[in-house]
Amino acid sequence: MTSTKDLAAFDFGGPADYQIVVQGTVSEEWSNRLGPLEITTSSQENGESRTIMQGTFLDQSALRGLLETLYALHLPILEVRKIDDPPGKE
Amino acid sequence: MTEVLSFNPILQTKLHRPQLTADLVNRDRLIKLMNRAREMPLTLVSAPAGYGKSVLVAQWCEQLDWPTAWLSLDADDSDLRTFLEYFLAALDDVLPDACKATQELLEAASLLPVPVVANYLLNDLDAMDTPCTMVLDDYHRIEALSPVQELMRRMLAHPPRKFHFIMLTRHDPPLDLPNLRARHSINDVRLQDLCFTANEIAEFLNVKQDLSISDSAIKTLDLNVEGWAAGLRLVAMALRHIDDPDTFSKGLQGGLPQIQDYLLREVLGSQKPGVRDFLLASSTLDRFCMELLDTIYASQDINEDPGFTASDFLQELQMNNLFTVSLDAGGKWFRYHHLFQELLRNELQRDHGPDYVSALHLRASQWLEGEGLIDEAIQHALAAEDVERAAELVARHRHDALNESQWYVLDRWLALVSTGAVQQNAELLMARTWIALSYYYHVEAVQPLLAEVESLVGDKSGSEQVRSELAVCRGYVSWLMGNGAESLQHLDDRIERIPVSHVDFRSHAEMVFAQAKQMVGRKDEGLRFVDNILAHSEPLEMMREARLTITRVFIHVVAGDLLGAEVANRRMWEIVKRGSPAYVPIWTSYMQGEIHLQRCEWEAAVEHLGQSVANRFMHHARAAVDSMTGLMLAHQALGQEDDAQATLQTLKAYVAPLGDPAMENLALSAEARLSILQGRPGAARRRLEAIEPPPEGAWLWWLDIPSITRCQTLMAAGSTDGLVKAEAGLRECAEVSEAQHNSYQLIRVLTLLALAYERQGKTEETLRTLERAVTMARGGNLLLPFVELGMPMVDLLNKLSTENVFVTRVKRLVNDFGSPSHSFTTGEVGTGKPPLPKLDGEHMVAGRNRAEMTNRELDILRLLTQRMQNKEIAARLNISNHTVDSHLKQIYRKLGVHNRRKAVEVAIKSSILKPSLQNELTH
Repeated sequence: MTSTKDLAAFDFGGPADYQIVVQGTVSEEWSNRLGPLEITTSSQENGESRTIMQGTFLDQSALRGLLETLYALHLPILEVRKIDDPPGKE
Repeated sequence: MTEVLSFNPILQTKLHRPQLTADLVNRDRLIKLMNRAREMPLTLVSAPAGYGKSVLVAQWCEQLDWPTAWLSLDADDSDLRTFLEYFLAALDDVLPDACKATQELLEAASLLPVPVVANYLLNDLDAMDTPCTMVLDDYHRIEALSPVQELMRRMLAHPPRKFHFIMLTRHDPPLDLPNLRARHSINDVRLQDLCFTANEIAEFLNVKQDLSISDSAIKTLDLNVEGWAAGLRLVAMALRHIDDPDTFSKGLQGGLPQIQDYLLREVLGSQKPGVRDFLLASSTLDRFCMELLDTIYASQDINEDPGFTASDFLQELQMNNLFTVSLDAGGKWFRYHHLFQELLRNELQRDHGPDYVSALHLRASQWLEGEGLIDEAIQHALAAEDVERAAELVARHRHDALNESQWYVLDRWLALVSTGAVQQNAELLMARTWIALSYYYHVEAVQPLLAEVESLVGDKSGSEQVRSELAVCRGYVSWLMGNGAESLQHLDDRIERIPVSHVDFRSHAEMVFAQAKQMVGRKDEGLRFVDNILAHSEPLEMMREARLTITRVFIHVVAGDLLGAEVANRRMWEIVKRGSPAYVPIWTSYMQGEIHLQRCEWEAAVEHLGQSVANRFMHHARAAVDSMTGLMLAHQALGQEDDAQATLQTLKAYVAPLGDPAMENLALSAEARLSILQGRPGAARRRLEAIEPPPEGAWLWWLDIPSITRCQTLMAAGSTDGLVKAEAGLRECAEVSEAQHNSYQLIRVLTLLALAYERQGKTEETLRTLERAVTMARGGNLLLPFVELGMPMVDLLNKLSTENVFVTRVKRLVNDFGSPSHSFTTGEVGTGKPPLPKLDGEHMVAGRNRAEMTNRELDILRLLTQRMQNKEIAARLNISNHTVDSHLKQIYRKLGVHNRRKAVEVAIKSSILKPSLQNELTH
């Protein structure tokens, strides 16, 4: 449980872990520019590929930057999820 | 730079650091954070709107002891050229002329490859001896895929030593930030840092705003307004009119959006009616001044307080600090804080509806046009959804932009107006066509565009202007395609109908007209036409004078009269001396270099073509390629094979990204020419022989014509089949040159043709053709085509019954370079024998080093033994210091030494220098 104040800071001004899923693939050139993200691409049964990006964002401004770039790259966003318990954390 | 500013004065308001208001809270902790910006290449201030980013950075810059440039970006700045224009203007404001080279690049180059721009800019910035900070405000407006991002990535990958960027943005830019962080190249200031703390809130409200708010109310505010600076300012404004601030503050709940809307209504509600009306109306303007406000507001029937004027309003704004930022030192231009403007705009739409808003935009557009602020006038016309007016604006002002050499500004206007609108407007389509033709040189793209313009004009009355321009374009295209007669048909009677005030159009038309005259064999008429204008008593615009003067150079070169060309080019140098735009010296060096090259004055050719090549990105692309080919040949003639190879590589690297088959063909042709001279078979030759050459258009004064070089390679291969093909090709080439009255190209064709005849035992044709070539070339001293063919040409000349000065000179030049490894003349064109027959063991052992020295290098070596300095050597040999330098480099390389003393030592030891010189040295 977090207090209201903690939650406010955590949600907007503080770092948070996110997982973003897009349809398609992100070129290597761009994956370097997007941030220190773990990027995995998988093929779906219907032949389309899907890219999962996961990592810690400094704040919402950093997350928004990524979303803007994905938008510019014409990659449809399937999911943006905040990860409460990042991998490896109890 | 001043030209740019005078043409677009509003630019200045984008370059002004926001003025600070008196009621700011002292935020030492943030200033300390900012101080790291003194060391870091980049400081990134990333947070949503209204968190006080600009204020903080402006505050910090105020106490800096070095210059700060400030640039507030707009969405249009995603265009690289526009961004650069503003970037350079911002820098020029604080450090005049610091980025001269980049500025020239911007003005002259039709192509702006990001790596090239980055290099120019990095060079300029790195050369600064004073530290400087560049603030890029609202960087989030640069689109993620804009080339500007790539430019910034490159700048930050190799940051200039004393230059610091500060970016203010609402979200993180795609700049490879993790990498920059890992290298400690970035100073982060983020939302968490910018949030007001409870203490700062208390200081702001209770001390700066002189309110009295209880600690508990401050705590509630801290929790609900979340440290949001703009929110606090709204609170402060609302509180001025509220009796019980404590209760009010505690009542602010429900999340930021609700609080924001609620606060704005409170603030607006508490304003006088006049102020409120003005606030809403002016929210349509990104920047405003009193006259503009007066204009958009003058005829508003909803003004509830007619006695209240724009001047009263501006006073109110400043007095109450209503989210206003002053944009210039004179206090004339203002803007709102972005967030406040957005809130006001929403309110305006809600209150008055779209028609009212459009009417405001239209009035703004009209006023801005009157002030010559065309970019913004177009934008407001578009905001009013009046595309027709936007198109008219571009049509009305297109010649102003062209006359100022700002075709790229016109290009930007055209991009602002939608493609659909451009296609429906004859004048706009003409403007687009003109840029494609005379600045991007896309001749193929122009033809269908011209047809479209024609069908738009039809037989409409009042389209005379466009019809004349259409004729000029058609004349231009015909000339470029090598059809002089057709070109003259289009241009006759039309030139005079292009107003002299449309300098760009008119002078282009005159250039083409004179050269088309030459193309149909009426050279003297062409020259007279140009001379009459140049002799005009009234001073000409520099653009027109330079174009007409270089036209005289072109005409003389094409006529094979190098002396006339050189004399004509002197006036070009005079224009350069008077301080001309960058393209003038570049074209002048190019023509000067070509003249020297054709006369086999190698050093001078290297010097001038080198200048032209150094500025290749500002050059006409074909002229740039031609300069590189010429430079390559001159190096090769001087025995500087490595430099020749390096120049070829530069040429290939230049051509690759253009994606233009004609340009690729030119590179191939240059490579083939070099491989013949170096006696190597080379894949380029085979490829050049194999491909169907793309259309070449008129041959003009271009140094290399691939279809002629192709015949040269066919001959060099030496097979009978090759010779037959070469002869046929060359006879066609001769016809083409004759049809275009192009003596310059014809001479080269004839020298090759003579050789082709000789190889096939056609003695009579050989001598007749050779004599014709000599007769045409000797007057103008056009030596290169003969000398390039080396010993086979000398053998051929020996068969002529008459010997004259010209022939003697060719032989001497060829013999001068007759040493075994001198490659310029070993291209045994048409012999069919293995290359380099003279490079046998004897030469290799006995005099390899000596053989590798050119005569000029030997001259310099001798002068080195006399302990002469570079300057003295240059004076003695009548060459430039730079040329001496490059010779020295060659000498050192060939001798494997690193200084002049060693060079002399080794040269004497290996008998390159005679013993007598050794005596000179020791005595």
